[in-house]
Amino acid sequence: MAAQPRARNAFTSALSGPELTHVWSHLTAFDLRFDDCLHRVGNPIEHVIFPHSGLVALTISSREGTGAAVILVGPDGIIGGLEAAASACATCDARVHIPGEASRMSAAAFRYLLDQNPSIRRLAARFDTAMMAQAQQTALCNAAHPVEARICRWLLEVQDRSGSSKVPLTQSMLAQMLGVRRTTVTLIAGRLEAAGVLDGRRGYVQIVSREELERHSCECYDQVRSYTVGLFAPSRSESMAAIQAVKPSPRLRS
Amino acid sequence: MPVYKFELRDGTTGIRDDLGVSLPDREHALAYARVVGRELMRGHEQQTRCWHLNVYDEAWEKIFDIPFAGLDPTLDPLKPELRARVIEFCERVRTLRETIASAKITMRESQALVARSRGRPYLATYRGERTIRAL
Repeated sequence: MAAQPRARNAFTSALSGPELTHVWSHLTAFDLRFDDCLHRVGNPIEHVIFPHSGLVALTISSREGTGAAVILVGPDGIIGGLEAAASACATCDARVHIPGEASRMSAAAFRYLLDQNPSIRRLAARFDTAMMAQAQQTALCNAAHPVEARICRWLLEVQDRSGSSKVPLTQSMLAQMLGVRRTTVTLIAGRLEAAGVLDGRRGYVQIVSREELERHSCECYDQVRSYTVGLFAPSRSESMAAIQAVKPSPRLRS
Repeated sequence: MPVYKFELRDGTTGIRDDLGVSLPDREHALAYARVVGRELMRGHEQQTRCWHLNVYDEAWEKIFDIPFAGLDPTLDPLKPELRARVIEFCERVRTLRETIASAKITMRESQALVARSRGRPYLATYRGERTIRAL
């Protein structure tokens, strides 16, 4: 039997009884090291990854070498589940931005579990839906929202996953995630610093006021969070209520 | 390769990129600054139209001054003379905002200096900056 995971991921936390035992029996713990590329676009998916801590960014690159992150995954999600279920190649690169711990399962074992167990299959579909919601909102965000609001949104997303107001990302990494120049991030960070929102330090960003950060962010953060909360709510009625509680905002914050 | 530095003039006291970027020559520095300007503007052109991005060499000698109104794609349909007037108006707005920002700093400094001279507590820093500036 494989080593037991050292901490729990949202996927495994949502399971209990025999389902959890089945999943655990296929998991192997490993470390997420900074800048490791877990999946490369176009390559077959060998493992489905369940992060317990840290942060992985799923990024799309252009031929010119520029790119942007479309989905962030921490202990709240799984990586490669959708492609593994479809026996498909990776649709984007999965790169570790914040080191941590994770477990992995072979794509074949993941497919076997999905085939054998309807409740695991439904749970995997929910995680895929949550990732799709994040990707769709990111598409809108990249097209419509100012870079300042986008930076604030990503910082909120990262803080939610890392659980700390000290975000261990450099301005270069943030620029890479947003698909903009490093200078753009530096200048916006200076504005946010002057507004008392954050404190830029060498090697990390210190969030001074989460409330202010939310105020400066676009509505995308709330949209995704509310949808995801609704998605994982215990019943359909609660799920719909949570989704409907969020009214799309027509404003674009500057 | 030479290092070029940048400063955003957004109607406050200005925000600098001290680290700078290594680029082959001034032409590349200008092209890079234009891209940064467009990235900063995108999605809220109206609110950022009065901003400028200055380009400096390593010794902080100014090389280029890029008004965002000149980069603003939403002004493209305007006739050149009308666009020139918009750029001129934006410049005046920015100068006014910078004057107001500077006056606020001076006011805070004056209040702090008076309080200090009377042996009273005073605001030592405001958002990470010393209230009483060094001479």
